[in-house]
Amino acid sequence: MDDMVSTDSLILYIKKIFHNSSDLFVEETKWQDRTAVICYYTVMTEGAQVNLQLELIRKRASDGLIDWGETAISSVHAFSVSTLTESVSSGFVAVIFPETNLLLQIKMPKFAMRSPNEPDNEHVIRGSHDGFVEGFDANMSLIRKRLAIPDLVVQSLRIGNDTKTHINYVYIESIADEDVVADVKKRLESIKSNKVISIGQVEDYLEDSVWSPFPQFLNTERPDRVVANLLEGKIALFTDSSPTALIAPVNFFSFYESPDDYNGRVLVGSFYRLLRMLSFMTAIFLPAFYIAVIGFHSDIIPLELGKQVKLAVNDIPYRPIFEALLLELFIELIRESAIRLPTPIGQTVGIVGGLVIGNAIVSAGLVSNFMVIVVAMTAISSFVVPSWEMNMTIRIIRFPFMIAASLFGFFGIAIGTLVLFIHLMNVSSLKQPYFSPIVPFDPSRFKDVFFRSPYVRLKKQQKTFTHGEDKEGGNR
Amino acid sequence: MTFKLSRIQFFLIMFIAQTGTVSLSFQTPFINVVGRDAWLIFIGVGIFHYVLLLLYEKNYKYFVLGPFGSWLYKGYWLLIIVSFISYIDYTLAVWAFPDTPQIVVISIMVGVSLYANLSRPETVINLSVILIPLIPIFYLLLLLAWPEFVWTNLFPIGEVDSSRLLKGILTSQFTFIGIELFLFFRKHVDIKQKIKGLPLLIYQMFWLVFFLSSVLFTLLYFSLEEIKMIPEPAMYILKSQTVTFVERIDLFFIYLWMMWSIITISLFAFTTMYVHQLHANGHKKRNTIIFHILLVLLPLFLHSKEHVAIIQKSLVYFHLFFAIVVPTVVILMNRRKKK
Amino acid sequence: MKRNACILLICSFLLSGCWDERQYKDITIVSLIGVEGKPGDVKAQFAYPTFEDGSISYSTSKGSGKTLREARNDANHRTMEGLNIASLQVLFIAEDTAKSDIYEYIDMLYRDPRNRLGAHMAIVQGDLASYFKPSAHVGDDVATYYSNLLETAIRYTFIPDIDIQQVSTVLFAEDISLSLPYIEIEKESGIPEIAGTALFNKKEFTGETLDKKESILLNLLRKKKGSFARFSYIWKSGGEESPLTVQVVDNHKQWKISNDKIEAFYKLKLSVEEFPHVGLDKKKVIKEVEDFLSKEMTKEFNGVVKKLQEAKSDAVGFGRPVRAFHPALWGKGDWTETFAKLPISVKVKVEVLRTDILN
Repeated sequence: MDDMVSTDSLILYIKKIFHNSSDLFVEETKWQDRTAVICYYTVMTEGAQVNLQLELIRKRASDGLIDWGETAISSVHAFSVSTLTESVSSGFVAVIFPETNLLLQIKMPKFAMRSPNEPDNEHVIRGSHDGFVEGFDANMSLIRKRLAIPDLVVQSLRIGNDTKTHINYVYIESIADEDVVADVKKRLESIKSNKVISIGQVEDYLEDSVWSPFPQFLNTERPDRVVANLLEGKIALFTDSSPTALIAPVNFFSFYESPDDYNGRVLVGSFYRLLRMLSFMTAIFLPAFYIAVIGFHSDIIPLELGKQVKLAVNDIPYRPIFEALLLELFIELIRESAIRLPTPIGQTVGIVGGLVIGNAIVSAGLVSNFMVIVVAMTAISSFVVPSWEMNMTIRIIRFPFMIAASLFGFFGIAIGTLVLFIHLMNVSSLKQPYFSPIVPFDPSRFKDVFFRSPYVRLKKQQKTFTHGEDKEGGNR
Repeated sequence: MTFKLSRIQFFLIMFIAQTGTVSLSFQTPFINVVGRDAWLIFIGVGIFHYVLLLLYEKNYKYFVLGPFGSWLYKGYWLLIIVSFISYIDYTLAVWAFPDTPQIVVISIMVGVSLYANLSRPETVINLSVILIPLIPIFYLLLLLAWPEFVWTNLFPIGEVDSSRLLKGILTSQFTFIGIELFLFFRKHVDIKQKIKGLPLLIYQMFWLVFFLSSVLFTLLYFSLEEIKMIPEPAMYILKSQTVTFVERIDLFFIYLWMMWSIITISLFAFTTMYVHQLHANGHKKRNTIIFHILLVLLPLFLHSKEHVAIIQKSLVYFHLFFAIVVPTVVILMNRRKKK
Repeated sequence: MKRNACILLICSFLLSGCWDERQYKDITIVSLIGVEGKPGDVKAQFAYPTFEDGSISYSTSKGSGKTLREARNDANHRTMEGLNIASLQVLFIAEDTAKSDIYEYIDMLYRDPRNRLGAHMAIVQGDLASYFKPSAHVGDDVATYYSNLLETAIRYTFIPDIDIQQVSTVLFAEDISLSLPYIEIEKESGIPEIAGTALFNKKEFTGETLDKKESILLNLLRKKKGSFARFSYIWKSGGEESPLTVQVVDNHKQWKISNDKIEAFYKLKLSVEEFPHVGLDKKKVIKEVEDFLSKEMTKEFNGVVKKLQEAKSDAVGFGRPVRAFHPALWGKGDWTETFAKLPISVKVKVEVLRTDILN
């Protein structure tokens, strides 16, 4: 930059870079005997605060300190256009000194921030009720509050050429496996997309098998859950704009653990954990089982029940699979519509759907009342899972089971179970086994999976599919 | 293929490979030959099984196969799988799917095995875990028949003559099928974990209790004449049990048994492919697929009860050859070489 | 590659039909079958519920043919949906039909994999049709009526607890004879009731039956007590008379088998349920009661055994230990013949264990 470029032309130049955006503040100001240009977005920075900070730095400069520009929130850089745009876009204040070709960066962005309320989708009864918000600093402070150790490491990088999204990954150096950390870094860096908007998008890039119905990352908005997982050697990923943290590598059973288990009594925790496992079974198999029984194996209905079932199904014109699909469609519609409606209306939809339609559909003879019981029970079971992703997964995978049952009865269910089992064994989360105590089979770890053991034991993540410590793993 | 097994995984593979299809089919021919002495003879056979295991354990290091030997074994396993599949298919056709075309049932079953075998080796190895909760349930259900057991059915003993005894021992060899996997997988077991001694004895007891009790239940529940008519006695016992919440537990069991058998088949297919990989390089995927196509096509030629029975009978002789003769020869040869 | 294979697999699932599907609404659940006639000319009756407009009614259908299977197919022509005997509750065989080899009639039930083998089986006296439409009102659902009737009788030890599967086991066993519940229609009321036990020799009904009390005794001999087994007597002692009802609490049996005779000892532990005479706190009275019951029961037990021997039907299963442990006696020839001639004596010793809440 030429020495005597007038500050006016610099201001014009800056305005051009930011396309004359009206929320951009660019003004010339006096700096001792020279001139400087202050530049920031008014929507991201508080003007009064800027004045205070500038006052402070001016004072340091006039005192003749050599590092006059280095305070807790400010730093001095050589001027370049990219530093300028980056600083301003991030909500910092940039003060440009044309003569010395320096750029003073003051980091005092102001964002609208929620208070850390308990996330709506992960309520617990006992335990902490705070949740993550849409800002990494606040989130990290919630984690640091729980883990006062120097081993807790945050690494951050920006991905997406158009969005420059901040991604942070957090792990505990002494516990986490360095290979996995390196792998996460590599995968994050290799994200080629220009636009990275949501954490879900990041998840897609990081997953080992995107087409698997099973989530390979645990999504949570609860700091206590993140902390518990970090202590098990896992890695948590945050974006700056989402309250959701991604945790990996996880295994299937961690989706069935709730912080409530460890806040409650041992027996109670174990009972509810087992109940959740059972809910996995009922949510997947119950409609398929009913379809198979009605279509193929009516012999197994107990005699006393037989007449009632027969009475119920005798006048239904459709095959059981269509009955089931019809009802499932209703339930999915009710669920999907109620999610986006404000709470009072959502409840009304639930009541209308559940009671009115449920009742009418039976008396209209479209669906038998046994099917209503089965589908309702299935829906309730699928909501028991403490993780939203797993809940959706379960809702999806019961459809193939229903179709298999309607084609081959129990044979279809048995084959489906085997295929599901094999698939679960194949899935990996960051190259580590997803179905962990089962592949590689290790019965000694079952008690931690199916029961809540009396004290929190730090479970190490299972690293390979093969038994033993060496990390060769199986070749695929 | 490199993989490492823990002790439990190893024994699980052995157990599932040895039980599987046979668990349902061997009692009737065995009891028909030797009558009430079946249970006593089976205890004797069990001791033989243990001796065989001990010998295997002592000598497995010397069991190294050349390409020719491994082709023999591959053929043998193919025969085993084909005979198992045709038996399962026949049984399923009789019990549940009289109208479904054979090829559909077979290809679905083989398809599962194909899927498992195209995955990591660990998948097949650990596949048997799914049966762990199911087998005890099956066992408990069989025990429901307890009040109807007639204890005097076990006596008198010692009526069998030597030719029938020999035949009986031969039929009981069905329960041994799969024992040769010990020789192939033993070297993959974690060196830090002990197999010799107690663990092997525990495995032997599991094996013995499982098969012996199935013989005992059959003898205790049915009268001798009746057993001749019933090819799958365990199913029949379950069929006549009544539990309050559900009728016809045999229907559940037939599918459990089918899952069990599919896993046995996958294990044998896995072993075949593993042995093949020892000498042939590459094309693992292609070979696996070709092998499974064979598995679909070959059983289609065997669809009457007679065919199934013939191949089942011949299996015993093959088994004796491959579980006793070939290992003895190979081990002796390699021992001499080492010296 | 793998994904394509998966998709192909799923498509083939959808394309292929459902060959073995049998919708529950398309079948008729037969819950009661009656067989009469003779081999070559079998007549069968089927009772089943029908479902119309949300209510259940019951009807029966008749068929005839050379075999039971043919009779069933014949009956199919007269029903709306296919007859399905998968959830059979009760099987009746007419008295005269049972006098020839009954296995011929029930082979169909064993061979069909869809069948339930837990059903009850009974021999009925006289004409079958009157059991399907009894003149007295026993409810519309006759199958459930009979099923409950039989189950209650089993609970009260009137009849042996035996289902179709065990019938076949016993039929093929050489060391025990079959005994089945025997049902007849009460002449005055027209209500079908349990009359006792029908005795079989080999696979044929002997025509001999035991009455209800004898049936209880038979079951005690077999040591197959139901929940309750009660006996009533009129107790006489020194000019005093008193009704006396006892309930069997426990039952020990011991058979001494030698080559030319069988001595059976039974020790019954009883609880007194009815004894207006009172005074059971006295040792002497108890002793008297025990002696009285021992004597009476020994007499009755021996009577039952005699009857069994006359019918050449070893319903108790004396043959079982004989076959297992006494080859010499077993080798004498056909067991039922040997049994009929063998001297068998029964001794009963009674012990009063409880007197209920009164003394």
